[in-house]
Amino acid sequence: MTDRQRQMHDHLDRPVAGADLAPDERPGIPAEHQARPLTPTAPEHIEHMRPRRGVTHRKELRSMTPVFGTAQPLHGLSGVLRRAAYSTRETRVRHWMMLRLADRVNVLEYRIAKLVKILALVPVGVAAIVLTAKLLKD
Amino acid sequence: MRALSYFGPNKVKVVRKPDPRIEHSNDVILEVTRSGICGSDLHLLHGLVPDTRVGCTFGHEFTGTVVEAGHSVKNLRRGDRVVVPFNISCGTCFYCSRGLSANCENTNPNSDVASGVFGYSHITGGYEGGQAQYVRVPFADVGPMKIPDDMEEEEVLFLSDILPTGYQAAEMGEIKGGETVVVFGCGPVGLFAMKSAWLLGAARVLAVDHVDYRLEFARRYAGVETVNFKKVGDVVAYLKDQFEGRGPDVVIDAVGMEAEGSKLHRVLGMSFMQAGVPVAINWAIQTVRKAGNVSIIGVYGPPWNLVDIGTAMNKGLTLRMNQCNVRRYMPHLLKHIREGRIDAKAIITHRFPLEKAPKAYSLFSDKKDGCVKCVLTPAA
Repeated sequence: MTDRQRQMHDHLDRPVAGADLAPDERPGIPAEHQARPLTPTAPEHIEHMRPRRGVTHRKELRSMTPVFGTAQPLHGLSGVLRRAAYSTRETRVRHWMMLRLADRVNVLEYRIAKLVKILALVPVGVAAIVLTAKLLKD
Repeated sequence: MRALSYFGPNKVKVVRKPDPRIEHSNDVILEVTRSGICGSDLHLLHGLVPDTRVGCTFGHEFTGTVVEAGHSVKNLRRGDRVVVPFNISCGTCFYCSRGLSANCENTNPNSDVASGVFGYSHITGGYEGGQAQYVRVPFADVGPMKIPDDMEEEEVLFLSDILPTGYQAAEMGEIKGGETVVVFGCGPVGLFAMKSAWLLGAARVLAVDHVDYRLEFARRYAGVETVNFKKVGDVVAYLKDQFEGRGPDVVIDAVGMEAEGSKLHRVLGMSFMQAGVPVAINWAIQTVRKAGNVSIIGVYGPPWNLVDIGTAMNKGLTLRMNQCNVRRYMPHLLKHIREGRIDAKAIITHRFPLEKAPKAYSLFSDKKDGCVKCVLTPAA
């Protein structure tokens, strides 16, 4: 018997059936409990992050939430599309369709930028080859 | 730092990115020690989640060591080892204070449908994920739980998501003792839902999938009966027959938006005519007995799906669903792990260094090499 098999065998032998049968053994019951902080150390007053360029919020909010992610701020054509999407209520289909379109545009932007980088290296590479050939000839 | 990044559907690479920094007084920066690849990360990989931006780092199941803490953090200090819930929650808003931390209203400026989530597109707040060497963790005094000194990271890693998610799925099924339960999906969440169904007192648990090695794993790991839906013809009729023609009392959908089983729904779902493939929900609604409970924990996105709501209404079903409120389950499930009732670590089939993350994604997505769960080891 391998270690993994032994581990599984031992595991299945544990008395698990009905261990949480009593409702007070279930952390999610009631699903919505009386209001109290989620953890004892949860901050009473939430400091707001300072605004960042290229970070949006949905139309329904008057301002940013106190805390937010700052990854990949909006840029380029995909940024324009995403900004337009977030200025449309999320209950509208066009909100989601614009986000999907922006995703595809974003990938295209990345691929074009990558291609441009490669193309920019071509003259440098050609010059290096010509120079090397010339030096070898001399 | 090195981090996994998204560059378009089915294209992820490990690249160099700037280190995260403290951006709010209650943030901490973690050096990531273990990071799981979740089934829901595959929806991102496949380009199915709106506003997934090029450069986004995935990863919402991780453990780490605190390397820096904001000035208002009371609960953690440098060197503490923690496991972090995938939800980013303030702990005191209307929803958090009622235990619904998955619905926190202070951490996601981009959508009303969920709280902030690590590494899960900008519709869950635009936070970087934990499939990286370092990650910024907001509300450090709310979400992260210290790992007991006598426990290893891998023993508790899945408290971050899939174990509480599976448990909540079973709990939402309202099992009171003696019920029959069908679980659609033998992925990691499905496996933990099966385990949890036993804990809550189910009398019979039957798992449905179409991948033979996963069905075998479910039989061994969770001690359940299994059905390969591709081998039984009409799966709904087959399942009803297993339960005296009525169907089971409870059905759990642990599949989500990339289900197999209907060519029509696959075409509509993968071409964005609907938000993913709702086959598992429809089978759940059709299979469960009248007045039974359907628990939906598989991930679906807005704006719409072709769901068989008429059948649900006429059968008098109770449909319950939510993203998991992870934080409230962590202490309870830690106790189950410590006391040996749940061996969460046993579902790990593959471990990879961060540099091999794209290979891990490919293996997990293609269900190759008996893969059930991949874990990355960024600090190795």
